[in-house]
Amino acid sequence: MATSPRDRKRGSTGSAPDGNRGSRNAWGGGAGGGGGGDGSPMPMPGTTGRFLVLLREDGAPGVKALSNLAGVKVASSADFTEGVTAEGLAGAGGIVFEDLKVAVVDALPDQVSSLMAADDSGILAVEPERIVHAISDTMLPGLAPPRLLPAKAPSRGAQLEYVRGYRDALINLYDGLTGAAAGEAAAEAAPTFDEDEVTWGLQAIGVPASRYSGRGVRVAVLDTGFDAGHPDFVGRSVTMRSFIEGEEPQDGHGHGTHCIGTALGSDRPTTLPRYGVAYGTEIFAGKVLSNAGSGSDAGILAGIQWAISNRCAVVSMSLGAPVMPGQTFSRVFETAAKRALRAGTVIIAAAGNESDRPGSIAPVGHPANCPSIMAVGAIDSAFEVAPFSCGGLNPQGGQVDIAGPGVAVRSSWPRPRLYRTISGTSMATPHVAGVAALFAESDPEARGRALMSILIQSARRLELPGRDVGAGLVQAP
Amino acid sequence: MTDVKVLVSVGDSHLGRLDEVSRGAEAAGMTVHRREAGIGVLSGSISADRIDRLRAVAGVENVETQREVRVPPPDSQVQ
Repeated sequence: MATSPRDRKRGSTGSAPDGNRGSRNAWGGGAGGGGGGDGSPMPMPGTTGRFLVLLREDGAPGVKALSNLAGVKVASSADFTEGVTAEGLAGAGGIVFEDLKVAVVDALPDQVSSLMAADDSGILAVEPERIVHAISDTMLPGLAPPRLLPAKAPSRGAQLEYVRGYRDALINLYDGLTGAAAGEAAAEAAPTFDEDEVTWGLQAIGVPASRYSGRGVRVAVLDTGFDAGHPDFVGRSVTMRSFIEGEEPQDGHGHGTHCIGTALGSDRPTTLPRYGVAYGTEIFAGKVLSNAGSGSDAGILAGIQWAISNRCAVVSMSLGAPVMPGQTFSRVFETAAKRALRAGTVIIAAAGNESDRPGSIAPVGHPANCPSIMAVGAIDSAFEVAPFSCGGLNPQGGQVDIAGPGVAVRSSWPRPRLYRTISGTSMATPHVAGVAALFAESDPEARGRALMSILIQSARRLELPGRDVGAGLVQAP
Repeated sequence: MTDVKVLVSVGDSHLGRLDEVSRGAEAAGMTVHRREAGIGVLSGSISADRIDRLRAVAGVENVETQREVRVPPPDSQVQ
């Protein structure tokens, strides 16, 4: 199986790769031409030896892009009126599926290196073609590791030995990075986080690696207001409005500033660690809770309307009222939330903190218990459910949709204190709201129900009940 | 009888006619404090014994009492 693609390629005309590849490369091949007389590179177990290449939709036509870059000659699906066949592909180095903008290529390892290294080539990703019934994704992070060149076709035992060696090398690397003792069992233990530069919560949801900032997206945080003079928000676009009679939007409590910090804070705060997700968003701070921390439904609905009228894609509400077991959701809020979704605004709310696990689990509170509002539960840095986090107990509505980091969350606080570390589903909620802003930036169609769906589909599944964490831990694009 | 704070949502059929529904609500005895046109919600207060009349106003879909929501005091570790 493994040798045939190589053999076919060497034998065909017009598809031979560039022969000037004298130097040894990361693939460990011999110097000179592809493969060499001692046998072809053995594909990783579970792969065919071919590669899938994802082409940019607006890039050069696929065939040209591949040929330009790596000397890979491929046929095009456009040439086959009745579907692509193996016979039709003989002599070609692969096939481009033009509608999918995906190519399957018979490239040799250094051609693959060229494809991977190319910058603005119109190549988005290269990955080994998998055999569908093998499932060792964890063995193939990104691209397959450098290949060994065995003198003869390896036995199954030898293949396993190779894979085991790779596994051990990874374990060793991980231990080295985390400071664990060499040889310690690499059980799937809870991740440990170093908070020198970035809070654990941002790390857990994949924010540091995201290339999005929420630029061009407006996010409303309905809470106790905002300390707009906080040094970490200099230069940000901030719109403030108070819905509390007799009080200015300036945050006299702290809760609002903390939530805004988590959702929308800077990627370069004046003091590390970084604690904010969507650092490029336009901030809309609606004060619907007084400086004493209380508010009414009317104020919240006014804030929601204000956010919709200002075309905010996301509304973050770390607030609520407890509900009784068996109690149903507010039809008024559900109607408002449905209309918000139709207008392109997603409302994300805290599930509530009334639980005292493991002894008692309280139901998701109002208004997070509305089906059209995303309810956020809280987990800690060991990826356990926070003891206070409410659960989806009530039959009508009241489900937890997703989870966010909600224990020991550091964020901004009004001057002069500047920073504070607290816990709550109030802290988990703005993590999700910030990530929603990143998705909204990544895709102009990601609005309303489509945005809710993307958040849920891309969540990291946890080994925890859906009752408590919904689809899992939110993940940044 | 004491006044209660209420929320009113209007049906889709009256979504563009919130002012009309508001006038009807006031005629039924509601003091309307806020009108949120886009989401179709009125908020205000009404004497508890008039709530049934309010429900009967054309375009009124739901009537609910308002809840107070709160967050813990600033010095709380869990918020």
